Amino acid sequence: MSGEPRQGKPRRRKTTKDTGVGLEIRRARTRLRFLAVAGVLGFVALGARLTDLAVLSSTGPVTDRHVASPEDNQTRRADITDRNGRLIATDYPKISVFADPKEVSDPGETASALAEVLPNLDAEKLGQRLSRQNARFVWVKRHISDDQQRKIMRLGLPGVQFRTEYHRVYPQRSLTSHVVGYVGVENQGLAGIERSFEARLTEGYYDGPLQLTLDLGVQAAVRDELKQAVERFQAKGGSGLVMEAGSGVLLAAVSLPDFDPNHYQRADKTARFNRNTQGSYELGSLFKVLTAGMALDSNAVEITDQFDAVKPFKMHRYRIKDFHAKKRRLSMAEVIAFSSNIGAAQMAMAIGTEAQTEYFRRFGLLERHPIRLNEVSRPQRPKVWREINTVTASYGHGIAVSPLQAIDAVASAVCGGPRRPAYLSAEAGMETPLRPAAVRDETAAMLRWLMWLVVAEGSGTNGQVPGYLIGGKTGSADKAGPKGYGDKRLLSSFIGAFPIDDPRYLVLVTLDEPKGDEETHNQAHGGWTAAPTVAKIVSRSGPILGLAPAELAAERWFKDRLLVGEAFNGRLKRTEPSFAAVGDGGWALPSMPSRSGGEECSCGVCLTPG
Amino acid sequence: MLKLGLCGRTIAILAACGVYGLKNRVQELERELVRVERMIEKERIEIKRLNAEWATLSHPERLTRLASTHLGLASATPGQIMAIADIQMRDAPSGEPGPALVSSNASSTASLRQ
Repeated sequence: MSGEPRQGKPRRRKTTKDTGVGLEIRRARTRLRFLAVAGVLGFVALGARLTDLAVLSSTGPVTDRHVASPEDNQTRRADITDRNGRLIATDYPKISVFADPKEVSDPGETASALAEVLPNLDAEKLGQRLSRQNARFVWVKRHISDDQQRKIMRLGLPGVQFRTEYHRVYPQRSLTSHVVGYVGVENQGLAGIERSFEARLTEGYYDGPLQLTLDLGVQAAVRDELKQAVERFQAKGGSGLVMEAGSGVLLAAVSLPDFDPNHYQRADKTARFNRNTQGSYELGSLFKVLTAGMALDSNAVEITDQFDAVKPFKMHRYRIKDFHAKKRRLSMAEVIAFSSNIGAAQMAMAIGTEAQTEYFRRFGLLERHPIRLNEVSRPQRPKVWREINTVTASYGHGIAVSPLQAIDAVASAVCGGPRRPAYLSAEAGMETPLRPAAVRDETAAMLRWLMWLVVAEGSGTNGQVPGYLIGGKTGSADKAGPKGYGDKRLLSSFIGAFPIDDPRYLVLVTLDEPKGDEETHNQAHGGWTAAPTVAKIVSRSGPILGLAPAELAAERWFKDRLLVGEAFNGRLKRTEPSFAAVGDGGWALPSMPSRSGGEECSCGVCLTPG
Repeated sequence: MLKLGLCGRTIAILAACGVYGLKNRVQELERELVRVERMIEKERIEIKRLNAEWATLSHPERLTRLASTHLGLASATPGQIMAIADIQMRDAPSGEPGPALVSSNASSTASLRQ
């Protein structure tokens, strides 16, 4: 076996060496080897690539990040809606244009070409910025239109690129400006809900839209009526609030002048100022409701008591007078109905400083309102609370609070029972603890009767609304100027509760420095200016809220508790009615049939043939 | 042995081809997924745009103006609101499908007719 190869080998060698055919075969074998090696190497390379693609270069799971979207670059914000789901704020992608100066061939030419497409662009400044060789990123313009983008692309400028960013849009424009606030160019919240709910709107983007308690229909009615009142009475501004009395749900919050949050930069400080929460005002006679509540609740005064209002009330060097002095003894009902400062001062003296401050604390008037907004002021109160402060505070001077605090305080007084302070979002509102009852239920019932009397027979008759039983209180506070209170500038207000037999909603309107007209006999007091505004708001909002007209039985209950006598005023040589409450009539309301008026109008604009 | 080796090599080649095909298919699916996700995002943006447009068009002030100008409508008044329970029902005359509404309040009836 071993000899055969040895015999064969020399024979093959001999053959190949000796013949030309052998040489050819040898060459062919060499070529074949070469081709085989090349083929093997090729397959090895292919195999390696296959392994690389199949095993090593796995792209992993496809996530949202792989989708080239504006989300890559910017924080997204959740939508904001009203309580019916109507859109108040949303995100929308907009295109921004930027440049890389290193790639820009001719900065001057590029800048002037861009300036032709983009109005308000300073070509010279842009040219200088594009000339900075150490910079790699220069914003040309944020938020351009699709048409402008097309035009820039057609220019074919090297180094000029686009980035899509989310831009906040407010389709309701100035309707909810102060509540919703606005965001900066980087989409960060700067004011209002946008700022105070920043984490919820950004981190909680996937939790869905943030629903506010506002009702855009009611909000529109309040803004429209308030705007008309501000224009008619040439006021510097005004505010309007509508709140669910028991729950603290804010349905409308308007502050005028306002602004369009889509272009907040164009608005001045006055327009951006939220009067409802940032403003601190001496609200004047509005406080008499609270004073009456304190006096009755602390048993310092009975509802059948009378007060001497013949002469001004004197304390130290101060003389407290009435706007429209009756110059006679006034029943407690008349003190509230005719808004007598003299009577209120006497009530305050009966209550005492300690009890008064305790009740103010219960009404939430001595601390910052807990509503979740950044633009909330602290109330202004005397550092040292003297007796004179107790007296002036009884008719709303010497203590300045925001309209939001005032509406909350009156709601606590007329509703009785524990309630939640006003809030704008159910998500945050439920976190606020309930306030314990400020007054007894019986006191609340008597206050409702007193507020009904103000509108039925007293200073707030212009606040009457045909079809609804409304109670309220007027307020006309002298504004403090550099020289004190003497320059006749008023902050006129009116707070209304409806239906007053079982208050479901409260409306507060303030007008800053209104001027009376011929129709108001040149009077600018709350009863002449703010009260009719509230009446119009109630008349428009009631149907939107599905509130049925008043029950006759309810009105009878109020009238049954009123004694009307006759008072002779010798100085004025005329007879005028004198009102007093029935002391032993009982203040518990009989059970009324349900006043539900069917489904609420969710469209926000209830329209019927006019 | 030779057959076994040949068989093994064939299987390996087929498996490699299979893996390659599978990988290609997965990549295609990933591309499809990205395309679909882009489409969803595009639709989402379109929905946002339409919602914003709807909110702008249904702005209460605009609706009030249009309804007042073109339809002669005005805001509802308290007298036009009443509970369904308060509406008196009368028996339908024979041949009619259901009971008709009768209201003592003229304005409410007018409102209902609308």
